Amino acid sequence: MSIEAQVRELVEQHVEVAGPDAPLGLQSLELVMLAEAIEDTFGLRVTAADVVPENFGTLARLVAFVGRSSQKK
Amino acid sequence: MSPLSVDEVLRGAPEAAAIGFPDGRRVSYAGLRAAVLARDVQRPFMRLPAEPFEALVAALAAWHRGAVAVPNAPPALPAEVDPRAALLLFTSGSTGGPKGVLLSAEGLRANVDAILSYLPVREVPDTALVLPLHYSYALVGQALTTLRAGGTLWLLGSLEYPNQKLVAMAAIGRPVGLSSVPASLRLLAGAELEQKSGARLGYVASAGGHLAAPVIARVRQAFGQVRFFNQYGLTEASPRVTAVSDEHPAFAFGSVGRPLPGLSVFAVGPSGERLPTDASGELAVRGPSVMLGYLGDAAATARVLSVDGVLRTGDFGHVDRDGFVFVEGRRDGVVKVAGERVSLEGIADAFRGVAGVREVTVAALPDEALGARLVAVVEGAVDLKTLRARGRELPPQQRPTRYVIVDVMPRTANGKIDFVAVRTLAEGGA
Repeated sequence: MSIEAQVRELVEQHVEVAGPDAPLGLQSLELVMLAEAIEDTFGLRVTAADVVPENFGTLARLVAFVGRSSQKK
Repeated sequence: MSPLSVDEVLRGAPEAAAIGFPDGRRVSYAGLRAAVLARDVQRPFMRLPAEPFEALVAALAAWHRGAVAVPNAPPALPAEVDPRAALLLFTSGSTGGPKGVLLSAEGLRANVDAILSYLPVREVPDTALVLPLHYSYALVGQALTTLRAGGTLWLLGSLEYPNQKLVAMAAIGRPVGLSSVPASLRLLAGAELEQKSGARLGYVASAGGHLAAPVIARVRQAFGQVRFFNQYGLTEASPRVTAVSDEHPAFAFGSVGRPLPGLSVFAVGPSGERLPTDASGELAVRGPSVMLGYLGDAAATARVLSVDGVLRTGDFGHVDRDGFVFVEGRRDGVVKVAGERVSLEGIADAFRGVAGVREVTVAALPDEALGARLVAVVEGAVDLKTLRARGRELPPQQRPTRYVIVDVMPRTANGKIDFVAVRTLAEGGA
């Protein structure tokens, strides 16, 4: 499964994804849970400073964030 | 009849700020009082709107006029209710599916005053409310408590991101009181270490899960030597039951504290018999803030609440010779996810009604930050999309993080669900 498909799966536990650039509108508790799920799924460390709209605001941004973080690992 | 009048709840000076918003706007006590008195009230149940300020006004109006505030109700509610009731909160309960916890006005008042006996809201009158108001922890433990102490309640729950919350807290310009669950405290502290917003804390209170030493250390690293409280409670007890400050040695040993004034806590055995000091059993609570019962469910009420008013919490633990309570774990089938008790069987039930689903088992996998992570193993002809859509209708803590669809649920030789095999399926490929 591609990174995008995996990320989409995690996001869709919490909200419907209208498109890659559509605002996700996650609530704070959903963000906490999603950040945890991304850590578990991709073996990344998601720091609190990563949990910002620039990374979690849309599916495309989140996929890009996971891609960047995976390369740094 | 006015079991909790505005004059009793709103104790700040008329011109003092009662409510603060993330953008710095404020509403005075006089303004809040006027809004409450002008609000229409439906009886017996007053459904609260989603917007936090409107929800608070509606709740205060309901209490002033003797109605029952309902933040998160299912569509159907009965036509009548116990006249002592003031608040109806739906939770997954200690066992089984969602239940309406009916709390009395007397219980709310008793709990607010008991909380004010230890939480320094009068010394630190600015409260940063970061949790949703449909939690008793937020509505009773922070909102009502702050207003009754004459402080300012900053409604920051609508800010989703930790950095936004920190900016709003810093803009208040004074140390604020912060109460939350360990997973959120950890995230907020982590954000502050990077962001250095300058937000200052007057105290930090934690409830809803094990407060691990690394979380405390991280909060102190981010916010300095701030006073800490560890607390224990449950919605069925309005909610606060015990508390301890970090000034007491028991805090360092992981105790959740002593019972609040007016409450007694003890461990009971399987048939409800009281156990001696230091013996582990199911923790039980007695006192004025114990719930009236589960709405319309006498059988479920009788399972946890005895005729003489002893509430079985579903948490296991012991009480030491000095009266300090230690929580050791949960009864089978109930786990805590990000501070909220969730019933695995209750979640499975929510998926059993989905077309094509024959059987569901929900497994809880350990998760350091959240307490537990849920995986639903589903037998039937159903697709992931449908399961996820059903999951989104549940509160965030009850949503499985993964779904595993199987042709046949693993069963033991005698036909019971094989939980060991289910767990292996749940762990696979995560």
